[in-house]
Amino acid sequence: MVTLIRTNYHLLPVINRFGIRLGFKDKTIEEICDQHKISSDFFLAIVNTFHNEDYFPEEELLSFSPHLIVRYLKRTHQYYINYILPKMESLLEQLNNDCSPNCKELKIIDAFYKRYKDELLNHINDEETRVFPYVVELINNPRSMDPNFTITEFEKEHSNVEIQLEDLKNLIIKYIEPVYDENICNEFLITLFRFEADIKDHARIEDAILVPLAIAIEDKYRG
Amino acid sequence: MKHKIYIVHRAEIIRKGIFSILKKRFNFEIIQLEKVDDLSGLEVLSDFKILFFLETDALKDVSAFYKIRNTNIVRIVGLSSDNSLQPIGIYDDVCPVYTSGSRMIRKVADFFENENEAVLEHEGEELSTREKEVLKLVALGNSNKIIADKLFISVHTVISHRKNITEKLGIKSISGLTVYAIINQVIDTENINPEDLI
Repeated sequence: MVTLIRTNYHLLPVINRFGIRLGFKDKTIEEICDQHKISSDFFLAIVNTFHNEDYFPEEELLSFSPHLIVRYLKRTHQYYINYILPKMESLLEQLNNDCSPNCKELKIIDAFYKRYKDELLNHINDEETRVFPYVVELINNPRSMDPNFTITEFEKEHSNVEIQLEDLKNLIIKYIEPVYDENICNEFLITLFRFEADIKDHARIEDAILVPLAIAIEDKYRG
Repeated sequence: MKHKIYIVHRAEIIRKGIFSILKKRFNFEIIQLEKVDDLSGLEVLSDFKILFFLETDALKDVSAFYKIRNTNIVRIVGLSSDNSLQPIGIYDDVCPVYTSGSRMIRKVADFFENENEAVLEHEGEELSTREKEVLKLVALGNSNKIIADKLFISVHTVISHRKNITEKLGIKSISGLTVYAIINQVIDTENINPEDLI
C-alpha cells in the first residue's frame, strides 16, 4: 500500500473514499482491504482505472456489486461538493477581494464559475436521483426495468460539464488581466487542473465499470 | 474588397485538411461545406473576391456560379480525385485532391496576389470581423438560424464560423464564449449587466 501511494499520490483522496486512511505500516493492499472489509478486486479495479487511462477491467466487470460502485461514486460526489467546490470558491473569493476596485474580468469569471457549478450540481443530482437508483433497481429486479430509460442516454450527458471546466481553465490562462494575486491565482488554477483530472477519472469509472455493467443486464433481459 | 474561400467536398478529412493548411497562411474567411447544395446565400454576395475549391464529381447545378461571377471576382478550382487535370465547364483550374500543401497555398496566393494585407505574416489567433459578428450574436443568446438570418448567410456558414472561433480561442461552451466576448469587448456591456448573459 505504501508503494501504491508513493507511485501516485493523486490516489490519496481515492483511498479515502474507501474509508482507508494513512498509517499503513507494512501492510499489503490485500491486508488493508480485508481489514476494511473491501473487495480487493474492486479496490484494484478503481485504483487502476484512476492510475492508467487505458485500463478496462473487462473480465472482472460482472463480478462487482453495483452497490459498491454506486457507494464509491457517491462518496466521490461528496468529496467534490464538500471539499473541492468550497475550496475553489474560497480561492476565487480571495482572488476577487484582493483585486483593485474594478476587476471586471474576475467578476465575469466568477459568474461563469457559478454557472458551471450549477450545472455540475444538477448533473450530480441527476445521477444520484435517476441513474444510480436505476442501476441498483436493474440489478435487484432486472425483469421490471424501466423501459423508457437506458443507461446509454446518460453517458452522453457527461461531456457538457467537462467542456465548461476546460473553458474556465482556458479563460483564466489566456484572458485574465494581470492585476491579481499570483499565488492565489496559481493555487486556484492548480486546483482546477487537479479537479479536471479527478472528474475525468470519475467519469471513466462510470463509463468503464458502471455503464458496461448496466448494459450487460439490459441486454440480457430486454432481449 | 473582402475575401472568401469555400471548400466544398463530401469527405470531411479533405475539407479539414485543406482548411488547416490554408488557415495557417491566410487570414481570409474560409468556409467548409459538405455539398454544393449547402452553398446558400451566394446570390447576395457582391464585391467579394471568392475562391472556390469544388469537388469535381459532385457538381450538377452550376447556374449559381454563373450569377455570382457578375458581381464578384471569382475563381473556381476543381478538386479532382483522378488524373483529369483539364479544366472543363465552370472550372478555371483543376487540382488533384492529393496535391501538396505548398501547391495549394500557391494557388490561393496567386489568386489573391497584391492583396498582401490579407496574407498572414505569422499565425494569428485574432478573430476576423465576421467571426466577431457571429460571436457577438452567439453571446447574446441567438440560435444559429437567427444568426444566419441576421447576417444574410446560411446556417452552414454560421456553423463553420463557430467551429473556427472555437478552434482559435480554445473555448467551446456558449457561456465560455460569452465570457470571452465580454472580456474582449466584442459586445457592448454598457446597457446590459454582463453577468445576466452568462
